[in-house]
Amino acid sequence: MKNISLSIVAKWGVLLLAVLAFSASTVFAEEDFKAKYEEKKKVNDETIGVIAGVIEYVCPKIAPKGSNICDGKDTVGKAVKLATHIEKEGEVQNQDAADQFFDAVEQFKGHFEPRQKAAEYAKKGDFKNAFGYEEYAWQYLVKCASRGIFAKKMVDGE
Amino acid sequence: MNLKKFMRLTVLVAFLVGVAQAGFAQDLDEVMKARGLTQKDIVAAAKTYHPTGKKDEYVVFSSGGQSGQVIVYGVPSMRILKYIAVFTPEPWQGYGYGDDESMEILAQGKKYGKDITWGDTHHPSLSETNGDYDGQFLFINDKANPRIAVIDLKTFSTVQIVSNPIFKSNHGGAFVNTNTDYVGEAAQYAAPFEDKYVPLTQYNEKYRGGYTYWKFDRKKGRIDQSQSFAIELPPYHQDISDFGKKASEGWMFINSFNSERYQGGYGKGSLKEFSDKLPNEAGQSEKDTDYMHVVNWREAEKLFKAKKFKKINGFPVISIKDMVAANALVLIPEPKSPHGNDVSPDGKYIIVSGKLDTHTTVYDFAKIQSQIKAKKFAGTDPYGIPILDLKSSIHGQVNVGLGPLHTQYDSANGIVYTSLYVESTVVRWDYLNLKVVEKIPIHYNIGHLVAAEGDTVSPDGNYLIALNKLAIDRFVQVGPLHPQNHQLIDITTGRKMQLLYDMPLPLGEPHYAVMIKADKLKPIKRFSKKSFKHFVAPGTQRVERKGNTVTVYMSAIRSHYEPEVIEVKKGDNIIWHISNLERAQDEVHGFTIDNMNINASLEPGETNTFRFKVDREGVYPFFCTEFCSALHLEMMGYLLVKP
Repeated sequence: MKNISLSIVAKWGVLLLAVLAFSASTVFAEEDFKAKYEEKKKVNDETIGVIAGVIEYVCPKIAPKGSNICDGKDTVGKAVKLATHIEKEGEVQNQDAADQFFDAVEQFKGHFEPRQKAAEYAKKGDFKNAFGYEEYAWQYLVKCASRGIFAKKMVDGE
Repeated sequence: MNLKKFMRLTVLVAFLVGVAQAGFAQDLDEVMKARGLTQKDIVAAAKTYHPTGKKDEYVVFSSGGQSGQVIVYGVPSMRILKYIAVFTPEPWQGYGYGDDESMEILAQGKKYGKDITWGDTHHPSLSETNGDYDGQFLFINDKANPRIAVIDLKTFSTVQIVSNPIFKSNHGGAFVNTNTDYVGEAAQYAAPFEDKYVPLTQYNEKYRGGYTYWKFDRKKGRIDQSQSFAIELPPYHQDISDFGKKASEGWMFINSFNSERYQGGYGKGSLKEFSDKLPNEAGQSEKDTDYMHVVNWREAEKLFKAKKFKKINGFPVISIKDMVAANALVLIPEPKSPHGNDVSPDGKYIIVSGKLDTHTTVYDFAKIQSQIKAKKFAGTDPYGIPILDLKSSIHGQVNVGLGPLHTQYDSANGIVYTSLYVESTVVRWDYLNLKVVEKIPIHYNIGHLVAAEGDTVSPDGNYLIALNKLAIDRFVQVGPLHPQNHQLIDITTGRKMQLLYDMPLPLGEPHYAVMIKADKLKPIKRFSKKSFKHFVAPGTQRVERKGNTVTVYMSAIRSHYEPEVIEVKKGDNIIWHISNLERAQDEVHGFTIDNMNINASLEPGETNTFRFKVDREGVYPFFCTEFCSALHLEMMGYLLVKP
């Protein structure tokens, strides 16, 4: 995952909207699945980048104060650690945000398998299926993002 | 001015007026004036209004009456949170629409092998530990078909229904003792315990009342029918009861009416030998008093364990004779046709209200005990049960008003609240000093009432709800049948009672309710896969055929089923397991197959199993019935049935 600065995170909702809007407004010829796949892949990478920023931002505001859950550079690792902590009903700073964060991680986990399949199809030159699976992965990322927005709003007291 | 300019000016004026009005609308005085609200109304609104996201301090579990359900709402906001399906199928919760899990629970409530798809829930009771609500379980009775249901508050769902094998109706249930060893159920209308014809001319000899003690196994979260028993009681119609607590631990108190043992025959068409008699309502309330039954249930438990019982319909019943011999059953006169029977938090007093007497009677348990120990009896009833003298058993009586019914306790020492049905008021009074403090009118004809934790060893006070039978003029008319009206009353100590809120309840006739601190409830967010025998783990989704039985192992997760296309043959028997693999809270998936009368509500982690035969060829879409995500409509598949 990319490291995203907090200033970007603060504008996260706007950025995500921009990413999604771009995705929705790009029109390709129906048969140009290679281009569609590559564009979707780019959108997904950017979305993941934004999600990573949110994890970095909300993790220390949800995890119990003084814990090492959010330490280190492994963004996915700390997200999974925090989700496991939440699932075990461990102490958190903001339970409502924690509940949202947990689902965001659940959705995030869902995107790995379709992305892997997308890559496999792309390798074989089957861009129709590659695009389909990349699109499928994007659905998980969008669900993750929608929960992430809630979590961020909650830690910010909005 | 030309037309264009005029139009512009008109728009501008309209805009400015709108802005001004919007500005005024934000002004409290203006809103009050416009809506005709008083300062008192504003205070009431402020005490009940919850900005979005703010949660309630208390949770009420109210009977759902003829809906056969339980209604859950928050206090002080009075926002409805849930209907718990209990005795009646309820499609949104997927309760009773084909899945093995809920069908099996409803089947436990069968009577004489027949399905009963409704119930009349009356008295919910929360499980207690040392006399305080512990927030683990809720029990409720079905008066119409004497049954008791167990609701697990981890999931807020019904987990068991037991059917009484000897009673023909109940009313005085479900009530629990201070550590929830037993769930109590009183018979209502006396009848022979055996399922056979007995003419009414043999009423006194062969008809009986009774009380059933359902043993509750807390570890299993179920009633253990093998360790449950009943006691035989005279054919007085037993009614509301309450277990003793602290000073009266081990004892219980059961109201009754029709100690006259009167049987009417009013009206044309009644049996000849009963014709021209007074109707039951007159004959069964002829005497000035009925009997409160005082039962040493710990002694009854000993008799059961010593096998001193007779099995009737396969159920152990301890006789009146054995209860009397064990000094475990006495009667005390009580004001006629009583309703409420409520033990004080310290267990020293029992307050009984006779609907047709303006007094409430405060019984003194110590006085009752001393008479029982000294065997000082005023007489015996026709069944040999000793009767205590009323005056020697009471602390006193208070003239509270017309039609007193039920009583709830306050945290303030000696303060209680009694519903006055005829008068349509709640009376705040002092049962220790025997005086009325104040009254508040309600709308209308209050039945039960509930105060925060008001029947425990440590009532909270704060809030009281009047459970009113009639609403009449309180809400917009919706036909001849009005909703019931639950009215929230502020009963803060040191202040006059204040009516805060009217809540219409258009689901059955709620009888009793219990109010618990919200933070005592610890529901789960998702089911554990261990809870289900047929959990379909990720990666194990498949379809298997053995002969003409096809087993589907399906998962549901946003937003697809796996597998999505299933092909079978006409005549195949289908076993369909489906697990919701979501772990995020509130991510529910529905499941239905066209024209199969199936609907599931799969909560996170939950598994359901459906069994059905496909007897017609065709194409049957199956799909999610819950708007689970943006791609909810796409969450579908096909069951293809080949000829």
